[in-house]
Amino acid sequence: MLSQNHDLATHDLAAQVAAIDIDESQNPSSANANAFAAWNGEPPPTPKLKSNGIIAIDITGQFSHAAQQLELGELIKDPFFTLFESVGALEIMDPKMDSGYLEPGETMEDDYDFSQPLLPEEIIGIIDQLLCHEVAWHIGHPLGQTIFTSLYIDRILDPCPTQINQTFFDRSETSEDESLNFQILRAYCLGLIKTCSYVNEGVKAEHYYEEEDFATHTFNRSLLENIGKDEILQLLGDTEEQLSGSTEMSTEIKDALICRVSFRKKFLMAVEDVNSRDSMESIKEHWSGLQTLLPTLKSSATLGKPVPGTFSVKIQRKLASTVPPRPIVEISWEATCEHLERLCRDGSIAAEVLKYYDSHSLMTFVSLFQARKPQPSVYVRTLLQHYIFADMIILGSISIRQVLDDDLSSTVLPANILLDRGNDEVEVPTDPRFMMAAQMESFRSQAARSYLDILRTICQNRCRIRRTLCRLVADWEVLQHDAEEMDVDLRQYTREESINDPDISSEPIYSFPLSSWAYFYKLRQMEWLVQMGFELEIYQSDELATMYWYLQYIAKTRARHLERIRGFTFRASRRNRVPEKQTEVINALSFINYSTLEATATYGFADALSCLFTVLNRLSLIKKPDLPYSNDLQRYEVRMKPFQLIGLPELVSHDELSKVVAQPEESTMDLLKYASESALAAKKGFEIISKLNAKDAYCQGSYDSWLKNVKDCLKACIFTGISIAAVKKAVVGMKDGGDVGIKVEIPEIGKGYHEWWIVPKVVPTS
Amino acid sequence: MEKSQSEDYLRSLLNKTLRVTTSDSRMFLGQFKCTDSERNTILAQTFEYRIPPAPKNISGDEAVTLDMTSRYLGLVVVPGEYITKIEVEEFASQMRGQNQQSG
Repeated sequence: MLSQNHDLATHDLAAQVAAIDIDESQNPSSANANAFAAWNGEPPPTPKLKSNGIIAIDITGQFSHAAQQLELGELIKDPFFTLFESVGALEIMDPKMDSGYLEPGETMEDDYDFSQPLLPEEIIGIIDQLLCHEVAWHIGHPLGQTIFTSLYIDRILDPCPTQINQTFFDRSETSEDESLNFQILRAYCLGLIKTCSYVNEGVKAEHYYEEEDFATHTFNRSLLENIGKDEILQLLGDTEEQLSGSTEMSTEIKDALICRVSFRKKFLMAVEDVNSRDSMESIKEHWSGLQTLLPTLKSSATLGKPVPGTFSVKIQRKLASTVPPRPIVEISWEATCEHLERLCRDGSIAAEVLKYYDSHSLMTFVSLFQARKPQPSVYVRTLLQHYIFADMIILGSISIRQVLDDDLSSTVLPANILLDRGNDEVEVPTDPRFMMAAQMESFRSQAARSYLDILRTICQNRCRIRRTLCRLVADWEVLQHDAEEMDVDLRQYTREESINDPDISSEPIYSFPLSSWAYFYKLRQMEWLVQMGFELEIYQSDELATMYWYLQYIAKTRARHLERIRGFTFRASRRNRVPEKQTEVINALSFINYSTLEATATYGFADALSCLFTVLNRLSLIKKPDLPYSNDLQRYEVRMKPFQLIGLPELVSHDELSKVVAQPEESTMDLLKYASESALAAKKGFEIISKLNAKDAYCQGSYDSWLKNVKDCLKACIFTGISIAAVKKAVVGMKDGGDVGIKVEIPEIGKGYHEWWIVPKVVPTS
Repeated sequence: MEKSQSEDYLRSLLNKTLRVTTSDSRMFLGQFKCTDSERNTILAQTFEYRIPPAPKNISGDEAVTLDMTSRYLGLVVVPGEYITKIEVEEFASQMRGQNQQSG
């Protein structure tokens, strides 16, 4: 019980702490995350309690007496120690914070007898529980609340074994008196820990968000770094063999155990081997091999007998952690099996990225893979990053330059001298080719980072993708500007002829290939940014008209920009008649055509939805949520913040935007007519797109998911047409001043046809 | 001791290594950073020491040495009401010097 005074004193401290101005914007993560970050390194070595040079003097009396003299609330403190720091201090003896606190009569350790025999059914029960814990860790819970709560795992890891024969549960040194049941459990546990070690290292090597996506913290425990995986695989293999020859148990139980041991063996082999980028087939074999065991594993769980006593939350007290003890995470067997099935499936698909077709197909692959619902797990996402980026060699075989040149050549510079590898060979500094090579290298070094950032970003969790895109568009704005200067500079070497067309401009017109390329990608990302907003339910329903208007604005700008690129590519193709170069030009034109088609369908659809939502707003069918703490202008500023720094396309001001969205001079019927025409045009666009082959749609390697995505867009588009017609009918039938007789339902995310297209459903009220 | 003397005394302990024992017989070893009139004490870079449970299967006559199990905690605040003992670590060499001065 806390005394009154103590309450006062701590309250006083708390008040002072609260008064400190904490810049929360710098620290969006929780205090726990910070605590983790702080101890992620090795904690300092434990000081020796007994040392000849140091003596401890009891000062209890003096200290207490001196402290009593202090005023209530007066603090004696180190001037360099701030109260802000003290916020992170753990309060000892507070059961919620102090992981070492024991209730009266409670003991530190579980009095668990490791020599007590276990039934085969109990081994199954423990193994299955461990598997649930492993999956819980995979989905983001810390080891301390999952696998590390197992007493058997703790027995193996503490003290840290240096060789495999130090891992017997009874602490003996030979396997002579180890029963088969214990051997199964021990082999399984060793395999499990080693699997986790590979997964942990794999995740840590790539980009992910600690605690948000995954907890790599091992609480200063070594995940069997001293024991080689071959020894463990050997033990698992031996155990499997011994089990097959065993006559001690029923066939059913035996098969269930063999399945588990074999699953662990295969899982461990998989996580070790799938890091290699040499063979896509071998990775796929690993995952499919693992997947074939899942049905047996799943169904035989009923044979198991849970042993809850072998898991304890108390183990957290022994872990190096600054966070208070937290409950054991329980996830169901069904969820576990489902996750494992998805892991095998996603892992197998992720490997397909290793087959490189072209740079656009690569980007399509990554973005569609990450858009799978539910999103692939962090481990698979980091595997994908590993396949793409490891050692700065794209997909293990292609240089970054190659990917970048592929991309440039298939958008703005087909068969162009700027990308001629022969330029590198020229050593005369006065030669224009030498200068071109040097300039292009300087451009590549800047562009490569931004380009790879896009791919890396799409590999993150959905919320982070959107957040990071906000930053990326600003990067690409800078890149576009720098590229513009390079374009001007390069003209003296390429001797590009200008186009003089008084209809367009009195000035000579140049192609600006590099900045055109940067502009194209900037626009793509701006579209994604808005579209991710729909997926992540960022916008209120009354804002949908505005946001779809903005989407069509950006998509339309992209279509026009592509038109410009097409013009220059076309002209270049007429000048360049070398046959082998023609394929490059045709390929670039084909990509421009595809992207134009896609942009056109997008802006048509977005336009239709924007008009439809405007009508619904007019008819007061969409309730404006009660937002007492903000107004339209503030919301506009927040929504447009990422675009504020963008020069082109120009930011539409708040007043102008409200006007173009509301279109007050248009009648409701005209708006609906326009909306249905746009929807129809978009529908035609999606239909044409859906008939393209993988090569023409730049989705080689991911055609099936691409087609599903297009079909979903198409369905959403058709459904929009139906909704527009229903509103039109209701408006026509509406008597003056009367009720429109319909209501509108906005489907929840995941319930509609496509996450990026929120289509209202119109229902009669009758 | 007067109030100012008391303050000076406590201040002289700042940043020294204290060993604070709590009512559940754990000991916390860390650098002394802050205290108040209730002896609520903040220690930095703290290690927790605990006497491990008595081993089984050992007859009463045998003398056994048990190492305290330790664990790194970092920054902690020990509420004064649970403090049963406070010790300060000093270098033996410096202590001899002080004794000579005072003696």
